Amino acid sequence: MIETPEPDLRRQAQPPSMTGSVATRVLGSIGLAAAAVMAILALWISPADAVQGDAVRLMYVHVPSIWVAYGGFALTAFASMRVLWRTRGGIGGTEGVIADRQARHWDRVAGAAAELGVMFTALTLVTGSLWGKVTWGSYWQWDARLTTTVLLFVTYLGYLALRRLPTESRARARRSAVMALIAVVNLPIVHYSVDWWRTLHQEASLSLGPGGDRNYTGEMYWTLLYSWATFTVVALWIGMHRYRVLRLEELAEEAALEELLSVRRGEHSSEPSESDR
Amino acid sequence: MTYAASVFGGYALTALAIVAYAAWVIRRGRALGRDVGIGATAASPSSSRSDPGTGQ
Repeated sequence: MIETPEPDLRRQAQPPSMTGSVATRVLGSIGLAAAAVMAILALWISPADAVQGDAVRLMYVHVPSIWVAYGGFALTAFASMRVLWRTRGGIGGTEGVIADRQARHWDRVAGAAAELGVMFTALTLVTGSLWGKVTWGSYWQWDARLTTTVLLFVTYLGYLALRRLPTESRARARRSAVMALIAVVNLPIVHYSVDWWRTLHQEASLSLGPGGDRNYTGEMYWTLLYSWATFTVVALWIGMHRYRVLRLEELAEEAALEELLSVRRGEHSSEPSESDR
Repeated sequence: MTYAASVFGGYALTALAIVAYAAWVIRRGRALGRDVGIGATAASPSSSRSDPGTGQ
């Protein structure tokens, strides 16, 4: 995967967007158009529910939010495994340099995906509270699904805090990766909590696989799938930008360190030597 | 709270949060890019094979 040495990027001209590319522009445009269509489908075309009325329309933002969050956390776990795998050896030699570069890549993927996961989990909690208020009469209940979801949110907030600890980048990446692999254990617990315990929260909206049961059909079903696709495109678009920002943060750290070192070198060279005294 | 208010609130908050987060990410990228002096081609996946994803 890594074939060429890192080019000196600092000499290139400065454009208006530092993290944009053709891919992000295409994804951003698709995401924007898809969101507009989604709003029409979810708010006008999809019918109201026989029991919940128009409140069911919250499902088209609530459910895709947690699906995207699941995807983000699963990607964080996968990338973290790659980080641990690529940092298991020494840091010297050509192979060590390549492994280090790949580990940094996967570490950035893990960080960007986790941040998106946290944001979409927060949206799930907020939209769920609004939905709960009109259907259950309460913003919050210490129900198994809600409690495990808030635990998931707090755990990944901790993961993001761990990533910000000022320490050597390799050690930080490895520690974060271990935490991500511990945190992801909660993911199936959140998902299956509605089956494992008696909860106020309704069952899963869609069950995939053979014999899978659908709680929604027709326009509701397709609008839900379309909303999920829209959220996924938007998350990918933001994720690409976030990944590149993480790369820029690394470069900024390296530049600051380089500057500090050159100042120190300058101080040493300006000090009078023994022979001058 | 009425059904309409909860639905409106849910959609508005979702849109606001996503737009605010995306704007923060892009602005931070611009600020960092100015500091470090990185070009757009550096952030383009097609510009280099050296670092998967960023092209850096």
